Order: sequence, then structure tokens, then C-alpha cells
Amino acid sequence: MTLTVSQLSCTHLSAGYPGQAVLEDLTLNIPAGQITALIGANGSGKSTLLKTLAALQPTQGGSIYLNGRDISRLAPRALARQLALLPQDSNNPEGLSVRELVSLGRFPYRRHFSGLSADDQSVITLSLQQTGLLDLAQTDLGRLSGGQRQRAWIAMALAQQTGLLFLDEPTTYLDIAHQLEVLQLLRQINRDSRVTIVMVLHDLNQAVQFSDQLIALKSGHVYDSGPSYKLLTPELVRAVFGIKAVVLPHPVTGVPVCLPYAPQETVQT
Amino acid sequence: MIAKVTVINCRRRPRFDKAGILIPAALLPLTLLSGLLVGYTGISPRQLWDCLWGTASPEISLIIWQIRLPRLIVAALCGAGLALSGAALQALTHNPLADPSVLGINAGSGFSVMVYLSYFSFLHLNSLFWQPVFALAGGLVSAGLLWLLSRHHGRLDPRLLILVGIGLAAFFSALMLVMGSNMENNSYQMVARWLAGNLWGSSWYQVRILWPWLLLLVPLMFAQNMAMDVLNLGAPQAQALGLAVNRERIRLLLLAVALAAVSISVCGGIAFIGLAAPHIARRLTATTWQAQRLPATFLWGTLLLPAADTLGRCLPRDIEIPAGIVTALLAAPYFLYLLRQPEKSGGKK
Repeated sequence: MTLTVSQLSCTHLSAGYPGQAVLEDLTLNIPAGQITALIGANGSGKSTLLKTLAALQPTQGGSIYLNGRDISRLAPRALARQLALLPQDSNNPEGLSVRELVSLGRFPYRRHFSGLSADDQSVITLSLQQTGLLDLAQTDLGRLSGGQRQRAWIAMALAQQTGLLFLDEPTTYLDIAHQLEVLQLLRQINRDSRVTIVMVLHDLNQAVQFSDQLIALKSGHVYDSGPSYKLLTPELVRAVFGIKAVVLPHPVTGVPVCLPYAPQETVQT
Repeated sequence: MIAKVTVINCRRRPRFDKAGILIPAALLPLTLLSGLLVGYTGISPRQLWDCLWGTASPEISLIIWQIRLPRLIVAALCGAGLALSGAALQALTHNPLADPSVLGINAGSGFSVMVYLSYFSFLHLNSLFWQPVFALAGGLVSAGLLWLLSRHHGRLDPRLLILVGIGLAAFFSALMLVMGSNMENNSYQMVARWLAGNLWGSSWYQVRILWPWLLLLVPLMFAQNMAMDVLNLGAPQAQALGLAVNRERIRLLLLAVALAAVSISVCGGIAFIGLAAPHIARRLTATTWQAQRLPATFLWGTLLLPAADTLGRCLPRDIEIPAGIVTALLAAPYFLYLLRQPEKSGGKK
């Protein structure tokens, strides 16, 4: 799958609920073809930013541009052909096979009164292949492990054939092995087909390891953004999360690793 | 390593998708056949055969062609309408217990038809046209109230919908009781029989009321299959897939109201078909995939109501139990059984 690299940016963006702005005057550019991780404390506006950029939530000011076009002028289906989003709180439909779920990714391309075309079917097969789910295509979603299920959702998003893929905490509820499996898959997808990925991640170390860029949010503002390797510092962790930490290079990979601590935890030896 | 786990954990899903269609398709001719033979006047297969070739006695011919056949067709059409209406409402509310009677649409239509029967006698000559129109208007008023009262932050809240619907059903039923107590004995009997859900006296006239509506509404409903599947993933994901969620909910509500109202205008307040047909279809197709489930639901609807009606006609020797009461008798225990089922689907990922 080769796709044109998508350009997404926003200027003076404000969003949130009436009388309570969650995001205020945000201007940022999502680096095309890269993986960007949104980090920040609970309530800092990570999820709101993701949903607002995907036009799932209305803006209260400012504009969002996707490939030079104002996103608010795009029809929902047209947008869904350019941007896929996996929210955190989707229903898990039991009674659907993996292939059926993935085929829902073709919804934005579907015309009324017609089924899935041969083109649709080959995209679906390709998405299953990319996520390693071909063997499980006929299996009921209820029978999958957490990691396999998350891969099925990702395959559905891939079937949308978008240049942008947004994920809201794709690793929640997964054990550590499945977390790494999913993040590796996302990186693979990004490297293979130049899909721009933006994801909210809770784990700072995973964010640094699996993203090219970090955007650190603090109470609705961008505190800092830049290449992941450079951005993670004790100062950032203190400013964004209000905790102390040391940042060391990982003994094997050399990637910066953050080790938070509370002062009373120091053990006297 | 993951591949190994896969092999152990994930047996292939047993899929009976064909059974979901084949079973009702096989039962349908049987039901219709017994519906033609059974009743106050027993008719033998031989007599039915003669009837087909026009060699039966005029009396038997009349019973088959003018009484039983149209009645069965009316039952099948109404059953289909109610079943699909239930399927739409269940998709809309994310609740397997939703049904036009639970949500007050039956009662709204019923009240409106009652108003028509008692205050608009000057329109009765043309009731082929007016009765469904009144039923539809009542259903729409009910759906409008449902929509207005179930909004939360400008959007339809599926959870509120059920509670508001139950309230509306009680309200309209109360209004019907009040109206009924002021009616003349004659018209009250007529209304009461209609309210109970009765197919007695159905003729080709009612068939002519029903079929154009269903010809229009059933394909529209089937065309919603993928949107319903998408909606089933939850509103945020549905929106991210390009579905205009609020518009789709309103569309489903309108389709459900129209399907229920036309059926109700003819067969009266028949409950539970909208609940049972989609659920049996779900069980037998073992899938929520609407491209398989909707046709199965449709078939079960066309099957269940004629079966209930036939049952009501053949149990005691010379009294008839209205089809609505048969469905209630059979389906109420089923409803309770469903309520006691542990919540299986609808979990978060």
C-alpha cells in the first residue's frame, strides 16, 4: 500500500466543552510520515486534542488543515478516507468475525445499495495480512486475546486506507508483551507504508521508544515538542507530571529511559 | 509464540449463517399450509388441492381465498414489519430488549388510530388510506417525544431512550383507557379487539394497505445493514468511520416507526415480535453481522406472527385467541429469560 503522505496542522486551536476550554490556542504541525506520541498528565487534553484533530469533537476556535484543506469543510466520509481513528472506548462486538470487523473499515468507500466490491475485498485481505491475522480471519472477536483483538481494530483502521492513523491509548488493558507487540506492529506499518501515526501513550518509555516525535501537553497547552530522544529530560518530567525522575540511556538500546522516584523512596544502605 | 497461543485459544467460530435463513425458510411453507388447513372449519389437504384447481365447493373456496389466505398474508407482512422495526430499534439503542412496544411506538400509534376510529368517522370510507396515516402520525408523535426527551447535549442518548419509551408507553396506554371509558359500547369493542392485536377479519383490503408500504420500507431498512454494523462499534468509532451518527439514529428511528406503525394500523398492538425475531435470528446466525441477520430477522417475523395466529385459532374448539395474546403468552417468558441472561456483548475493548 503506497499512500501520499498526509500533512496535518492546526492554528490557534481551542476546544473542549462549553464554558470549559480543555485546549487553548494550540498551534502545531504533525510531522508527516512519522510517529508522534502525545504525552501529558490526566486531564492535560491529550485525548481531546486527538479527537479534535480528527473532527470527532467540535472546535471552539482556530482551524485544522489536512493537506491544505480546512477539516471542518470535509464531509465525514471524505475525512474517514484520509484519517482513521481508534478511540479508547469502542464497543467490542462479539458475534463478528475478524474479517467482518475489518471490512467495516471500507464503510467510508461504500455506496448505498451495494455490497463490498472485489477491490474492497482485496484491501481487507491486505490489511489482515499486514497485521498477521489472515489465519484468524473467520474467528469470532470474542475468542481473541487482547493483543489479537487490538490488531484486528488496527487492521480495520488500515482498511480505511488513510494517510493518517490516530490511536487513543492503543495499549490499555494489554499485558506488557502484547503492548510491545502492538507498538512494534504500528512502527512496522509506519515504516512500510509511510502512514503518519499519532497516538496517546501513558508510558513515557514506550512513547520515547516507539515514536519519532513527542508532543508534551500541560493543562491544554503544548509544553514542548520535538524529537523523542532529545525531549525526554528530568526537567520535562517534572514540569509536565510534577514528579522527580532520572533519565538514563537504556543499557541495551541506548534509548533514553525515565526512572521516576519520590524522595522518601531512597533506601539508605 | 503468539501463533502457538492462537492455535490453542481460537477455535474456528461455529457458523450457522445458513441455518439462520434455511430454518425459517423451511418452516414458512409449513406454517402457511397449516394456517390454511386449521380453524373453525377443518379443511383437508385434498380440499385445498381442489381449491387450487377451482374444483372445490364454493364454501371451501371462499374460506381459503377470501378468509384464510389474506389473513395469513396480512400476518406475515405485519410480522415482517414488526420484526425489522425491532431490529432497527435494537441497533439504535444498543439494547437487545428494545422493541416498538417497549419504546411506546405501538401505544402512540394505537392511541392515534383510536382517535381516528372514534372522532374521524367521516374519513372511515377511505380507511385504506387514512388508518395507516393516522397510525404513522401517532407513531411519529411518539417518536418525536422520544427524541425530544432523550436528548443529551443535543444528541440522542440510547440509554435514556429506553426509559423515556417505557414512560411514553405507559402514558399513551393510560390515554387509551381514558378514551375507551367514554366510548360507545360498539366502537369500544371494535377498538378493544384491535388493541389486543387481532388479525380477525383481515382481508385482501388489509393486504392492499400493507404491501406498498413494506415494498418501500423493507429495502430501505436492508440498505442500513452496514451502517448498523458500524453503529454497533459505539458512537465515537462509528463517527471516525465516517458515519453521521446522529443522522443515522434519526433515520433508524423513522424507519422503525414507519414499519411498526403500518403494521400496527392493520394488526393492532402486537407486542414481542420485534423483540423475538431479531433475537432468534441472532442466535441462529451466530452473528451480529446485519447482512445475514436482517434477512433472517425478516423471515422469522413472517413466520412467527402467522404461527401465533394459527395457534390462536386452533387451540380451543370454538373461541379464538387473538394473535397478540398468543405472542404475549409465548414471548413474555422469553422476555424474562432474556432479562436474566448475563450481559455478554457490549463490553468495552
